[in-house]
Amino acid sequence: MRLKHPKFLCFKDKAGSFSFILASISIIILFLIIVFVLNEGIPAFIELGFSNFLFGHRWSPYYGDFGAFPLLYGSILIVLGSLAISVPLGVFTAIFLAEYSPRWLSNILKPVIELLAAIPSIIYGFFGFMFLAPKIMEFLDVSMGKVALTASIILSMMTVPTIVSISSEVIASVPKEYRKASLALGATKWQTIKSMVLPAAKPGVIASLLLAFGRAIGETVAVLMVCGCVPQIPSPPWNYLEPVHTLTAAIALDMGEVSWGSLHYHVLFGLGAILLVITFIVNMIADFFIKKAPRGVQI
Amino acid sequence: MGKAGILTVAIVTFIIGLFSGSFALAPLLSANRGSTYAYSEDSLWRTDSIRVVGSTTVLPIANACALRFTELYNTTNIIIEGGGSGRGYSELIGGLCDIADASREPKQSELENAKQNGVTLILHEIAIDGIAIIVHPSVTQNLNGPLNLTLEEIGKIFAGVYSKWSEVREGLPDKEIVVFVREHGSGTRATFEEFCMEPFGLKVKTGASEVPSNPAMRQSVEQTPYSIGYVGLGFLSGNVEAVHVAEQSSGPFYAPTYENVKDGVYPLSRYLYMVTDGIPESGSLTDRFIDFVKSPEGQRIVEQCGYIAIYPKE
Repeated sequence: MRLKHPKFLCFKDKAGSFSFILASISIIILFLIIVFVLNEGIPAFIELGFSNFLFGHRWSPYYGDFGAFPLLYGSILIVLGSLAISVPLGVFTAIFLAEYSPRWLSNILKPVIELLAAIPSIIYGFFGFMFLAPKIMEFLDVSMGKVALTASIILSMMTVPTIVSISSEVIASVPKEYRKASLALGATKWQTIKSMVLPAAKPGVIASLLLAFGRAIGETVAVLMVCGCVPQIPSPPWNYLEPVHTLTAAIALDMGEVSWGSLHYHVLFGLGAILLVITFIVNMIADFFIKKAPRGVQI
Repeated sequence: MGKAGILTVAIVTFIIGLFSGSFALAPLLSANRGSTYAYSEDSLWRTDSIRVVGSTTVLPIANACALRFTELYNTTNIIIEGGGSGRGYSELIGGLCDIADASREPKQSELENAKQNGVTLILHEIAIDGIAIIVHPSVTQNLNGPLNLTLEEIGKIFAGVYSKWSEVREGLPDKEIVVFVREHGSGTRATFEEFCMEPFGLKVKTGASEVPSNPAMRQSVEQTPYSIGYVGLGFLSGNVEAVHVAEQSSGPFYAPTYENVKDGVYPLSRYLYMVTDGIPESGSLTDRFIDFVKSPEGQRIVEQCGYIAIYPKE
């Protein structure tokens, strides 16, 4: 096909052009943030060496040891722990809301669950610090209440609304014909959900999990208050009853104190860059799944 | 349609230009703020505004003094922020604030940074602060008196040489020690390390939990049985036990009280500073504010905040 006069920047009317400008502003801001973080963070990778920085086992800025691995590990440990709690909770809540719950009950439940997402994260942190941590210390008989498990529980509370609201939308949007066909074949309600609705909604549900992952790994204040901030790899590595430190908490804890332009300053931006890369990858995968949802049954 | 397209491209280019332009111009624009005013007229400084940033230890003093100062001269504007001594120094060197609060002297790296930026750091002593070593009451429950520790023993506890309380002293509980420390830029930490860690070649163990402020430190120790931490003297309250400290094991051991710090017998004490870039212009708001903190009224506020005054109060 022959290309005509380039029309890609012509938008019907003035409102079109105007909204295009506003739309581009956020893209420009995103672009500038990425350039800024990379620009400030790359010197850390150069000075320390890529693998020394990313896989170094000792994080102790006071003594000039910048190994980000304990932080990276702590972040991932906490987030996986939180998903282990929030995924069953969120997905089954979504199933209930979309399939079983009568309309009047959904109309109450859904806004309430979404309200969980509106609570500022500092409140979650405060709740975890003042209430959950002492309780965990008491019940599990550990020497300190601020451990990976506490952070995981707090994070799971914060990510449940993301999972529920997206998943229930996706599940509800699976075409009625599928359900009717399945029921007509003699399947029970649960059988229909299990082998018809859920597989059709799978890409969307996975996308919601990945978005929850993105939210959890970027969470800062609440985690800072309850994770204990000990830059170590627990022994054994899957021990959730030991305090850990995370990428976000390390940035938040040290940022105010760092002298401008020092190696530590660049290291903190380096941590930011690592975080950016992780969330970008996760968001891109989530996007991929969102585009797939729900366009037919894949069993 | 073509017209709208060209217009759009032009506007977007303009916005990008504006963004990048402001980045490039920022240093030029901010360079102007260092220019000096002549404060010959008494009234000029009254409409000025300054920013005071830094150590959370100095924060209560700065806050209370600023409150009183702006009450006296209600057209002045003093903005107080915390963030730690490190932030204070770096913002002062970066020209972002007028006074930096500090609970330690500048590090070598900060001095070099200041030199590069043509900033002369002038330290104004405003008060003395002691650091109290605090433990959870569960540690001392079997002791008749207070817990006595030497500086070296404290260092070894924080370094992880002793992992259980019973290894430190007979009669202490046979429980793991939970160690809390402050984050790297904290003046409290710098002073603590200078007294308890550096002289003995010790480093804080990796299992130590970092907390971001004095109140958070007190809260953490309060909440956690068998834990140890340290706070500025002004924050010594609540359900924690203060450790009595001596330089040698033969004693004498001193409690972290105002009298002991004032008399200079308590080993863990330090000066608190307000830092400026060069000697402040006579009669400027910066000058007036620091003078106020050093004045009898300011020093009374210092004492009310739980620190030790160094200038006469009457």
